[in-house]
Amino acid sequence: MKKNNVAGCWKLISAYIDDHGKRIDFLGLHPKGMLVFTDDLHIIGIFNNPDIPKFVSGKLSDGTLEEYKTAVTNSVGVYGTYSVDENGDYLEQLIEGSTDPHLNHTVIGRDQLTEKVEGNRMIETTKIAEGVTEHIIWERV
Amino acid sequence: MKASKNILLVVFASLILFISVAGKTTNSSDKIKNMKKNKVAGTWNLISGYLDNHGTHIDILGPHPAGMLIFTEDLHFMVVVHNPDIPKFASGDRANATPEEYKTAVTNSLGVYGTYSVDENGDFGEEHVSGSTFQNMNGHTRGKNEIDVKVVGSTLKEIQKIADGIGVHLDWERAK
Repeated sequence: MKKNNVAGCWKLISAYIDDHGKRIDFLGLHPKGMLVFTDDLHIIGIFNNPDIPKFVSGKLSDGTLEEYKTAVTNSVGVYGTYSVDENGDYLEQLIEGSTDPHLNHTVIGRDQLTEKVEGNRMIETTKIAEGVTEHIIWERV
Repeated sequence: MKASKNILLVVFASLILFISVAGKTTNSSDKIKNMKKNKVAGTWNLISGYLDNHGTHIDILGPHPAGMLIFTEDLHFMVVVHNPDIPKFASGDRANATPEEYKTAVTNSLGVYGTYSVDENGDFGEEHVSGSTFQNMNGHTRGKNEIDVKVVGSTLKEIQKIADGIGVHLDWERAK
């Protein structure tokens, strides 16, 4: 099997956006999530803000407009395939599907997203705009 | 379309109602033993998803449902299912969608992750939801009474029981 530094199951331990030096906790103060890079080069990831209130009705079909917006803007799930380079480092991912329709069929390469593995941690950095980056730290389960 | 959308809403709502807190625990040695013959471990692609309401099939995730399910060897699971045919947000920005777009996004997709166990035969035992894109699911446990999982060759057939004669059928194919 080809060398692969990212393969495994990862638990989210930190997530924030750095907007020109200002920290924004876009998934709340206790962000949660899981990310799996399989050995057979599939990827699936979900992150969520566990502190948002549940739907008062208890039913997905009976959310309020605010509840629907809060759900969409406080979570995302994606899946697809990925590749690694000759050193086993993350190269790119093809998102086949997502809970966010905008992410379907997008390719995210290292020019947008990097995954740096250091021991049992993986630091994910996504460029959003000039001076604006999303940082997610994962810990190997 | 509207009718099937409404059914989808009912299904998801019902799914939540049927989540129960099973308290069964498995000790570590059993877990290791069962892991060796884990039949569900692997990566699975969704090939079919519908609601069977007393024999009537309803496409709850549209006519082309898509998704991925992964059961890891170390007993974690992740699943994302969605209707790939829903329109993108007109604004191109999920922070600025219309109320209808937000509702459509939530009711046409679901992401869930957590841990799971298998029984002594390597069959699905139960799953504990650590987190979800639908926050009401967080922290719940679903066992064989709520989800029936059968692996036949390269296909995994999952039935989520909603009520008597009503169930969500998800068919998965092992990814190549």
